[in-house]
Amino acid sequence: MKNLNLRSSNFINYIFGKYVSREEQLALDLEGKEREIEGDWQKYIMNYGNLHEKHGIAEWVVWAEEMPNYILDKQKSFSVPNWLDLDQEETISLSSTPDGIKSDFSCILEVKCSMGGKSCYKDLPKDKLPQIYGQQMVLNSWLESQKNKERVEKTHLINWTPNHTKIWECKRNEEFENYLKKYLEIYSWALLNEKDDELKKPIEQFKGEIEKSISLIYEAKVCV
Amino acid sequence: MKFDKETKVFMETYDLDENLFWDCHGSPILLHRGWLKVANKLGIADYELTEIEFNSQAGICVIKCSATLDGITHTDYGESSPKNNTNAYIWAMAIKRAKDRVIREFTNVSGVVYSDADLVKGKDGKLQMADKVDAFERTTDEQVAEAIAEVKNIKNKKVIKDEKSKSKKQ
Repeated sequence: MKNLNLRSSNFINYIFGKYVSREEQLALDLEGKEREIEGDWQKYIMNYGNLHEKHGIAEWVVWAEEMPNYILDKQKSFSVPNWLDLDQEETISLSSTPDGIKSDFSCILEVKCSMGGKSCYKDLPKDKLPQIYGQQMVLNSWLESQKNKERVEKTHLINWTPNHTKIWECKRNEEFENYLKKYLEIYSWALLNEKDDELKKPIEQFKGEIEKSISLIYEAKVCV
Repeated sequence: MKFDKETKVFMETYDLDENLFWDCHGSPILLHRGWLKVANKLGIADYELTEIEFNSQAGICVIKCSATLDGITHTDYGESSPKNNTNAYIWAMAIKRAKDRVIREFTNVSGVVYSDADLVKGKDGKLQMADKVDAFERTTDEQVAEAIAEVKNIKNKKVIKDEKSKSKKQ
């Protein structure tokens, strides 16, 4: 059965074909299959991330001095049905399950335990941006659909390892969101039409400025 | 449902049919009436039940259960609390769990055949084996409190950049 839901954690593949080409991703979605995680190291990294997500949240709680919502076993999947607003039976939904959200919805929390806890990212990797800005986009569409006036303004990406933690703040960037939307729309139509012709065309680079929306706001390190 | 060799032998020994089991993610769960059938076949007639803890307001009940067969006594406990029970009858649930566990002790199939006394609700709300979901038996607040304590226990982690504190001071 066809997968007609696009998850923000996989936007990187729908838009850029980063870990699996866009054509291969489309073939998987048309068959309703998931890409399997290959290799022991990849599995270890995934398990490590699941195990230590709570520590990333905890470090944020200590720093921010407040408790976020929708964390750990209370995580929630936010879904925007029929995101292209189509008047037809078959439509595409977008969904996102952040690691936490500030109680006023102004800030999303996303925890990354990089390199299986061995070291932090030097800079915020650009391949995390489709997920970060995709989450903001999905959450804001969901809030709008719920007639909720609150809006997500930023994401705190918590890069947690036992010896070193960094928090980057990623402020909303509508220009980048529109860039993502353009390619998500192309992918959505490819899925609806079951044709990958448009996915074979090259992807334009983002021409706007994203760097000024991102800043390192917290860093703590074990000092020997 | 697939049964492994050990479970099949157990089923044959105690004359249990498939209808007395249900499948929890591949692990065979024998229903309470199945365990009672096993007890009947073994010849366990009496159980010594002792109340260890009972708090009706907190919804907690712990029962100790012992049974003797051919001079061998096995003892185990059954507990029900809001963390592992949504049933209103906490006494009955604790007794049922204690009995199932004691009967199982006589059969030597611990870790192979489970009782529904071994199930708890996992992270996704689905029933899972209790020994596989220890992290989710606690509430979210308890998990975060524990993680905060662990984070604070990491010695010598010094803050070297904090824009939030900086903006507070200004």
